Amino acid sequence: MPRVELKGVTVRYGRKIALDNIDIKIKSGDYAIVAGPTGAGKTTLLKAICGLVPLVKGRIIVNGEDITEVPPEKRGIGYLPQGYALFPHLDVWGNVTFGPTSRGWDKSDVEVIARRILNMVGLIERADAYPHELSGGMAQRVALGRAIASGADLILLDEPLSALDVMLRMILRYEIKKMAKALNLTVIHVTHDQEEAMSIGDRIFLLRKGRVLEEGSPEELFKSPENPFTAYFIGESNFFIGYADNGVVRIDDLELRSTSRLRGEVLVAIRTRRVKIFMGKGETLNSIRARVEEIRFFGKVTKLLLNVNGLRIISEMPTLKIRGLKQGEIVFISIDPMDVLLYELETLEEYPEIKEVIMNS
Amino acid sequence: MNLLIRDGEYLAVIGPSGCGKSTLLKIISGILEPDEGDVLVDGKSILGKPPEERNIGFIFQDLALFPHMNGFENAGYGLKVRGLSEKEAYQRILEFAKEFGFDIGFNKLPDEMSSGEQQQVALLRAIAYGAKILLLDEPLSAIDRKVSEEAREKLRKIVKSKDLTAIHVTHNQEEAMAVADRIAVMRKGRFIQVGTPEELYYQPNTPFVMTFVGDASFLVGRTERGRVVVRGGYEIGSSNLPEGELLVVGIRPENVIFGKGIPGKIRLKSYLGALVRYEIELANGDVIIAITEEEFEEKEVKVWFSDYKLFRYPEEGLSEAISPG
Repeated sequence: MPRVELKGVTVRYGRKIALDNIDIKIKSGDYAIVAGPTGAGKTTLLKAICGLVPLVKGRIIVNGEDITEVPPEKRGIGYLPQGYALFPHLDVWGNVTFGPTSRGWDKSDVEVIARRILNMVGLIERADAYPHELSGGMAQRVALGRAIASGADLILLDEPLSALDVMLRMILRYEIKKMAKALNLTVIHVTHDQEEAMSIGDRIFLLRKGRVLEEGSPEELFKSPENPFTAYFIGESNFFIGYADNGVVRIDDLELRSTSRLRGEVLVAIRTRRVKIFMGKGETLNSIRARVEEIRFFGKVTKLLLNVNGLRIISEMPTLKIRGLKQGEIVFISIDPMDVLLYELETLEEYPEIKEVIMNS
Repeated sequence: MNLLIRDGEYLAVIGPSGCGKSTLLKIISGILEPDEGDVLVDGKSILGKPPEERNIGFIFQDLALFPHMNGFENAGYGLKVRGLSEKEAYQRILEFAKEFGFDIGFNKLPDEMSSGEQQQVALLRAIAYGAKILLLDEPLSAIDRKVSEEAREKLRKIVKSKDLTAIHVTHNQEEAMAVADRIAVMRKGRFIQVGTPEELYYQPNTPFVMTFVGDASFLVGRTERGRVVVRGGYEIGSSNLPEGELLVVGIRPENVIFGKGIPGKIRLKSYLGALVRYEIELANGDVIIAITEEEFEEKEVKVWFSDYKLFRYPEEGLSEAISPG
């Protein structure tokens, strides 16, 4: 039995459809990510589950129980909205322990959990500070701690890390995930950050214009996205227009083998991390000659702009494997036919974002 | 603070919130006067010159577009202040927009524009009148990750094609690496290290720089008979630091090799897209991060390190020394 189920959920703001017939199921104990660009309906989805926006139609079922008509305060859901607010008259400790205390938890249990959570967000030493004494980033961390410690076992988090410095964001995202698993929480976490989505989601629901375009594990969405927008939004891809026939796709003068059976004019997507460069090994089977036009160092990975017969392809490689490579050098690249993803060309009309990538390359 | 920025250089200034990054830009632009010291452009002091005479373009974190002016009026503001007619100013703006490949609804007011359009208008306003120096204060932090990744590529191209000298403040190290020729790392009002992305990554001068530019895990150890020995008695390699001294070993996640060495347990496995991140609790209780292309199903592993950096143990303690703020 899924922990959370949405059946045909539709929400309108005036004439605008914010959520369009959403069907999703989230398993108990899963860390679910709702990802997508601004305006996709991510926040509305959380509000619908909490009961903060009226549904035009659809049902919301939690633990097998239909809660569509249950008032928000009786749903027993922990919610961290984007514009969170702390109780100004309570100190950090009071804020974090408020939920479980008011739910009548045992005092010693409340203390153990509050300590653990304040340690996680790095504010155990500020437990007696009041909200007005904290920086914005600290207040955000307290609000996050309060949501996780709310005593509810279904937690909704709306961009819980976006107000924080990147470094803190990177540390905290893994801490939240571990904490959620340790406390056996079911979490629905909204983010526009695809890297955050991939790195901590057990399952990702990709939203665009009020619809779920695709759902899957991070690995599934990375390796075999069924929708080209997924290839665009989750991870990074090269996009081309090509002509496919008999398992071979032709892009200008370049021919690539593909496992896709699509034929005719197609939209081609190739993950930048799946364009592999071989140094100093010379030509191997299926390898393609390329000239390195630009090298951009990002620490553990390096991004390379390659010129393949006039076609510009971006490759992202672990830096250790290409150290010493210079601009202007000739290298050999290979792309697994599994990684040459083909889509109907008409889909391009739905996604101007992808069109722009093709035009800019 | 002393720093020389070369003509045509793209410098990124990174550091945690409150380290003084924005104050630095305010001083260069003339919004703030320094208590001591001087600011020179092309060898001449600009102290005392009002901001509008410094010929420096500024893009603010919140963009600060004039809400009652449309795209044209905002972008052409600097040109009109300098005496161009409305027609000439708009002509110039359109030429720039075309050159940069911008697609802006110029007749819209700022709150009718997308965040990307607002960004582009702010950039035009900052440079269209001929500024040779461009200051950017967290210009991409308010927009979606995907959009900002595309915008930063464009930003670098424009700065380079117009031969501008740019100083770009951000808390995001990846953004800094994407745009900059050199990066200055700031902390608590000081420059800790200035260098190319590669220099900072391969020769960090402190544990802080090592963790702020790229990821790193740290172990505490000592030099014993010329070898680095970490907690639990594990020997991990040779040391060039004095015998017996407490030291910090910084390890990049890609330098963690699986197969032999210190036993540990995988506590968290995360997919990063063709790369996998492992959080490993070592038998001595320390935690390290590994990132590799290989996939492991087993929970018990052994790890060693193909490379590491050694630092003297910091006086303020390790956790304070690497604290993001």
